Amino acid sequence: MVAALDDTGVASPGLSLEVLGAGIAFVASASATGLELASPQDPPSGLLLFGWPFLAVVGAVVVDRQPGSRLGRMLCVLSLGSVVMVLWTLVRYDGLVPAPELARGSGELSALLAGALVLGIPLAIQAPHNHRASVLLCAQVGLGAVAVLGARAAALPHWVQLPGWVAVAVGTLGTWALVARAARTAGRDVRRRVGAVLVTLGVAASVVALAWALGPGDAGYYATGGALVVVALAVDGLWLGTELRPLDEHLLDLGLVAGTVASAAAAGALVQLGSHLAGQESARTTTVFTALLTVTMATPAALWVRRAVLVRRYGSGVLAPEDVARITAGLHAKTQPRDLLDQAARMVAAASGCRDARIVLGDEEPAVPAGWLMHALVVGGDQVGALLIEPESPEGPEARQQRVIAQLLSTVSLVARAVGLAIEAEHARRDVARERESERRRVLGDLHDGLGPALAGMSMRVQAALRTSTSPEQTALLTDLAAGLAAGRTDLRRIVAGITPSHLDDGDLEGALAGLVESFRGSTDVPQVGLRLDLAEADLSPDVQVAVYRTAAEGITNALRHAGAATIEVSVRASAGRVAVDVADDGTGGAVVAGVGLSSLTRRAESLGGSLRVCSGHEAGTTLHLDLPAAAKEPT
Amino acid sequence: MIDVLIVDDHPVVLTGLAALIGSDPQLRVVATARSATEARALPSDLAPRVAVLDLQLPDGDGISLGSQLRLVWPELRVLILTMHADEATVIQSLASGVNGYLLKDADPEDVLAAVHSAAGGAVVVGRSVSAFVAAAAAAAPRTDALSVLNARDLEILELLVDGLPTSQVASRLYLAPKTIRNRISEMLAKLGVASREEAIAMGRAGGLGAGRVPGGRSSWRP
Repeated sequence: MVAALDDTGVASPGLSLEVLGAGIAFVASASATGLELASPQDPPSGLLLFGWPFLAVVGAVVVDRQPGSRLGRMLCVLSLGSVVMVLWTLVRYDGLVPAPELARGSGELSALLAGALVLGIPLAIQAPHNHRASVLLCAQVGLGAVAVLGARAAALPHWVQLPGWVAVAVGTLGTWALVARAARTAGRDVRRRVGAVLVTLGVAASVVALAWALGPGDAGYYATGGALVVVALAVDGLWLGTELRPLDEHLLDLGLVAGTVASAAAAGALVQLGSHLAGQESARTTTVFTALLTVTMATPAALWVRRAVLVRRYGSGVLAPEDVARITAGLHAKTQPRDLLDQAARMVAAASGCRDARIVLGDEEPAVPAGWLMHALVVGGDQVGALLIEPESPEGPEARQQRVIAQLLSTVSLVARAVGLAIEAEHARRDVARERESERRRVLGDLHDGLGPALAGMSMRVQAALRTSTSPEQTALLTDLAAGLAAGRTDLRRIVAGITPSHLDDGDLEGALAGLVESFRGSTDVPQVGLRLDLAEADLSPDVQVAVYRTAAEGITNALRHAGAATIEVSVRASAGRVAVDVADDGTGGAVVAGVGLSSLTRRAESLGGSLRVCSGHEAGTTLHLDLPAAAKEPT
Repeated sequence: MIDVLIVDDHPVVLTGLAALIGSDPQLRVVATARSATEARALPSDLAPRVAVLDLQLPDGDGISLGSQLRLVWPELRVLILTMHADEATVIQSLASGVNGYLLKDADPEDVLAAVHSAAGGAVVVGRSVSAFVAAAAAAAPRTDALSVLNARDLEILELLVDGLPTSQVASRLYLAPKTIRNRISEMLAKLGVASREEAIAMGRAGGLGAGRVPGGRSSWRP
């Protein structure tokens, strides 16, 4: 679905008959023109014929690109106009005659042939829908031309020619209008070609007419020869160029060139005027120098204007390194790597001047909305996603935008791949976490259901034996066993209680903490565990709840193991968007062991944007202090 | 002399209980059973005063077994002994006429005292029942039907549970609709269901929806 960048067709291999014919036409046309140029006249009448051989060259290019093209064949045939004119003068005057005679005769013939060009080129590019009207209009032009020529041949007064000229002008403009109307519904390329050709022809015809009507001396000669060359080059450019830019861009270029020239002329005129007013005529070189200087200074300004207009229309055309850096940096910082796809898509849209862009991951063909284009994103031969582009024009992006998109594709592909990998990594992390949790539950379930009853049963047997025991040694042994079994059961209870209880799954931190503290009560040989809760206005995230619970559990276990405390006080308070946990004992203190549990809790607290501290003095026992923001930042 | 019947499928517990109760001069173990069937097959002239029943038996539960035994021996006092407990079960068993509720983790003296109290007609609740409830419930193995799914599947299922159509799921996840359809059919195969609606019902039952992804919370992140 990637649109071809080059829509001018593929050059046919070898030399076709058409191209050969175009070559012959060129040789003939150029020979005739050369013959006329060689004749010693002033102004050289060959100037009139100067443009015709160029038409053969352009015709050759066109038929080479598009074999069988009407336009190409027509240009080749019209290029023989110079031959016709030379033959005509030879027949009429029986040899090369003085300049005014030839100029007059071939001037009229030249006008006829140029008229054929002015009508023929647009018609060859785009046939009008209303065929009859176009035939009638062409006939009108022909009749008008015959009327004008007749009036001239009969040497009638000039005003007699006027109706003929009007018929020619109206017929020509009507034909153009028909062509333009047909082109409106055709594709963008046809539209632009017709537009460019009509504007070029219109400007060229106006310049030639003005030059003949108002110009001094030989201006008409130069204008006619030059206009033919310009038209030929313009048609050539429309077929040779790989991209057809919008007409207004050409007009902008023309306008900027004209503006530059005009400013130079104005500067020169100012110099002349100034020196004239000062009463001393300046040398011509000063004026020319001023004009050239103005051109030199105006050119960068014109280029700047052009660039500004194009950037406004098509975007900057590049992806800045800092943009790419921002995307890749975001991969580490964001927990939603998919957001980066939107960022990257927005950058592509901005850089290429498209209305919108989207990135879709995966190797399946995505749903492409109407008017959107799809570009596959490929890394290392594997499709990793697709870039969807909505161009400003429903007929697709401009060639310039296509190039920009093509350049950006590799970067966008890498971004898509990186985001895809980040998502996979996130999925893997969640899967591992889930598996670890279920494994933990399974192990603890086995401990609770398997080891628990066994310990309980053995405890009962030992107790039973103790009741019936008579010998002191046996009683001592059984008492030891009973104590050991009781300790084992307490340990088991703590291990099981250390995991996240079901209360937390329901977001009931208070219930979970109450259950936790309760599980440490009851046995005779353990200290009193007190709990103070102030969570009334707290809205704690699940991660924070788990951290609070596990800190409390670890704190109590630590105090029981190491401190030899009589009371343990657990306090959980939430206020002003933070939550604080204190586990304080009245034990010996100084017996804090930074074990796996504590360091793991510290890391967890830091990842949630908080801190865990242990204060231990010999007098005041040990205090475990956790401080967290209530709504944890996304863990990194 | 109080006659006691013990039903428990755990051999160590059964032996321990029998020894403990036998060690009390006022108590006598008249029969032990390893299952509900075995208990129901006991001769009706046995007429024990107290039955100590495990809550979870291989072929039934202690509460309904207690009711059945009481049909044979109307004077029977039933004491439920268990490793597993949650508040709902405790309330339910006490409501259904069970005379006492004890945790296996209780101290041996408490067990004997409970048997005596039950024989006297009192209602007994173990001292650390409520303490044990939380831990026991936490350790209960969870049967999670969604555990066959991975995080990638859950991400899609959650959006489906939220009621999004395939096209919107695709655009949320920056994937092609075809990719989503493929993954949904893989997911249905994993869950062993035929339709998307069944999968959505399972997801809802599994607590999905409204922005909660199981595992996404990841309680064990270091």
